[in-house]
Amino acid sequence: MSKPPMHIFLVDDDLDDRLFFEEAIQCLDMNVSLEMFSGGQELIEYFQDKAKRLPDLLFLDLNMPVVDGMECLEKIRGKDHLKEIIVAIYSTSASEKDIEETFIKGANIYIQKPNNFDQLKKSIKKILQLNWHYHLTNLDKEAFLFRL
Amino acid sequence: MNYQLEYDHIKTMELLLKEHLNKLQIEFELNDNQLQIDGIVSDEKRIQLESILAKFKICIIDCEDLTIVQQIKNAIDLLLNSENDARVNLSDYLSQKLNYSYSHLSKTFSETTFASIEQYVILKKIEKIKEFLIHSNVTLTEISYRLNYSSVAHLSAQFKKVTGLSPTSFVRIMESKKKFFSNVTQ
Repeated sequence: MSKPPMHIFLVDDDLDDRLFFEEAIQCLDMNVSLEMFSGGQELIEYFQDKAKRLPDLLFLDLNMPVVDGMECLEKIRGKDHLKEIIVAIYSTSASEKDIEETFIKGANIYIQKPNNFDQLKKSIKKILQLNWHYHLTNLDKEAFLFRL
Repeated sequence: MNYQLEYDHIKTMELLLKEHLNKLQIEFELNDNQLQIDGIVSDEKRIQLESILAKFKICIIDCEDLTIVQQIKNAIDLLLNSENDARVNLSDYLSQKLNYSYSHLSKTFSETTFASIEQYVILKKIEKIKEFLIHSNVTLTEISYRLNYSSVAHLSAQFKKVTGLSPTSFVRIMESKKKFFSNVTQ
């Protein structure tokens, strides 16, 4: 049986958050491969090489030094070859203004960083289940907005 | 001592398959790495076959599961596009349409997509609501009637539960998004 794994990126400057995320993904035991970046700059550099493999789903922290999440989002949505990527904003902010702004600028999913590990696993699982459908079928990505 | 070997890997492969498939009483033909088997192989035999071949580092690549998942999705889409979906029992409908037991279908579906068939149906209904909200001027009352929701409240609640947004904030965001991107591209 060979089902291709879903390819996931996480961009977060906080090392602990990255480690928690990685552990949560491993615990879920779903068919995914994870690649992590410690900042927006690294991600943008990765995307500059068009031969590189694109993620099916990208988790993006908002609050990062140098190049922040919002800037990354705008760059991604401004590039034709990156437009199809499902972007999930992964942030501590609960401000309605932030949430709406990220959706308007093209984010598909908004999750508030949970404060415990179990909740984190649940949130990621919910998103992966949801995203799997988009990954395997052609639903309207433009209108794919999801807040957790 | 070194011996030179002479062999034809296709012949070797054929003989190997013949020996092991005959044991399982499976008739087959091999063309360009494609194994054609006469008749239907039971799940039990298939598992035996897989484990035997695995010993020789031979892996069966098939997308049968993905095909079934797609067939389930197609059948659901068809049902949701028809007028009488509320009066149809989903599990009966799918097992009749695809000729598999519902438990097999639902197991294959969740193993492949990590979500249940029921979750998919709800997701598709939400997609339909979105389509109506974005592309037409029909009211929520009209939408809930057309998609067989018992009330607007039920529709709104399910929409909010699945997407995290109310239908009205969804519409507001989609409008601002449209404006934002038309300004960006100008």
